[in-house]
Amino acid sequence: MGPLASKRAVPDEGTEVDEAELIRAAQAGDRAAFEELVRAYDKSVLRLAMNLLRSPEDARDVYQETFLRVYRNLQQFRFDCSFHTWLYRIATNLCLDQLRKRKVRREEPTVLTTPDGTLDRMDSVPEERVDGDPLRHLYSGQIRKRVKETLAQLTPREKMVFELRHYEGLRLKRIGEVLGTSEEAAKNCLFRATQKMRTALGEFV
Amino acid sequence: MSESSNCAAVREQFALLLYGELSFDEEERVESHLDGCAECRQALEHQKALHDAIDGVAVTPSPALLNRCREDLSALLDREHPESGIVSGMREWWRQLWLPAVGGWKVRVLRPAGALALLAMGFLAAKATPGLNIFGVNQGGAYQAMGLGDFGGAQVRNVSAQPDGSVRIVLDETRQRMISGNLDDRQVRVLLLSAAKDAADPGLRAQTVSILTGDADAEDIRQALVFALANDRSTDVRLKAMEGLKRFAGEPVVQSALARVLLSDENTGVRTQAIDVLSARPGQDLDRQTVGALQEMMDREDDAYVREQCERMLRSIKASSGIY
Repeated sequence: MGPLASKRAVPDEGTEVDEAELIRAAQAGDRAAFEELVRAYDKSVLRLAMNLLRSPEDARDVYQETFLRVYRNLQQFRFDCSFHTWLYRIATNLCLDQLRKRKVRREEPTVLTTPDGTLDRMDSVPEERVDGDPLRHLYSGQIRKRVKETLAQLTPREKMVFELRHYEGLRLKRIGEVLGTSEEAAKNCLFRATQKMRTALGEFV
Repeated sequence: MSESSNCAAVREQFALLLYGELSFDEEERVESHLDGCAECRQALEHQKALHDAIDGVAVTPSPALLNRCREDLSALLDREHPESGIVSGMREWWRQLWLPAVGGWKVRVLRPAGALALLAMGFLAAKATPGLNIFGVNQGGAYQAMGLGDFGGAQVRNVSAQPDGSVRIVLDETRQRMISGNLDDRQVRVLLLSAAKDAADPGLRAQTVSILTGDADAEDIRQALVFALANDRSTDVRLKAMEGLKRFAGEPVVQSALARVLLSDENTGVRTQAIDVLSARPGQDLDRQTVGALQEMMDREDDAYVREQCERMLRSIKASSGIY
């Protein structure tokens, strides 16, 4: 039986809990409230880490460290920004650290060389499947490969801003808040990232 | 500035234009240039195609990875506070947390349904492009033909849920205005339904669909969710639409949409959620199309869990697991 088979207790529909109440309860030591907060945001944190780091192992580490830091520092949260912003600030800082470390080590994060040849660790992640027109599949595969390569070549900050804007749908103002910079700086970063994407992918689209 | 350098300057703004991140004046300059420059209009279409291509590499973490993360965190928290009285129940709790997209979040910021909506309307029209899945099929009936005619060709730029439960919508039109109303308000509803279908920004579509899921009892909203599930290029949008439809898995239209997801959606995470939604009510009636889809999945599905669930469902209705 697959891993999903053991789960699934559907929470009560229509029971709305104010986020601020949850945070206050969690600050007062209510573990269930903390767990509810985790549940509300952990999928997006994991997706963010996965898309940025392109490594399930690293994404898992960032997930653990993010929520552990939130748990340990929740008392310091003073509602002067949204919980989402605060949480993303922690998660993005951890991701940036990882990306910078890789840059220093010149690490190739997703591709491993094995006795059987080259292996992409992201192959263990749900991917597009072969279906329908093989030419279309080949073409979309080439585009995907080029997009991944180009994303890998962005600077950590460019990558972060691009990820937050394009895939997470955050506005630049919020991205500035999350990254501790101005909206204008985030905008410049996004501009550079999209220019690089356009240059690299121009021939495909 | 010469015409060619003007074109180059305008084209540099296209990405930010599609993200809705240009200022009023910047947008004005781009729009007025586009009105008179066919080449730049074509280049903008090119940029939209690029955005769609980039959408295609988004990774959705597998349910198995999310579960491992939750179990690891649970163990870490146990070590942080082993004296906690609720620790003993944590393991079971974490097991029950699986896949929040199906379970539904309780946090109000994600469920503003039925509440007062506040609409901040922006400026300029016609920058949105349908976020359609080019490999998908069109479903959703009359919803598909719906537009923003009543708003003078305006486009929804951004939507967000407010802490008080209201909805804030930024609308691009020829002038800026702000209106307020609730989800029963026809204008609000039309704007949200349109944004879910037509907005260029996948994040905006996802947020809109999230808001709409709170009122999925309404048929027009269900139609919008079915459309998004079948057609949206963004995995996140499709997952959110499915979350809104899970209570209606017994309805033929929803069942048909889920069956089509199983057969044609390229993302394993989406197919996994589709089979979970379909199998959540043991013993429910399945139409012939769905049964056929399940049988076909036995032959073509790569993911062991999805295949296993298909087989289980077929067994439960005493149907064969192959196509004859």
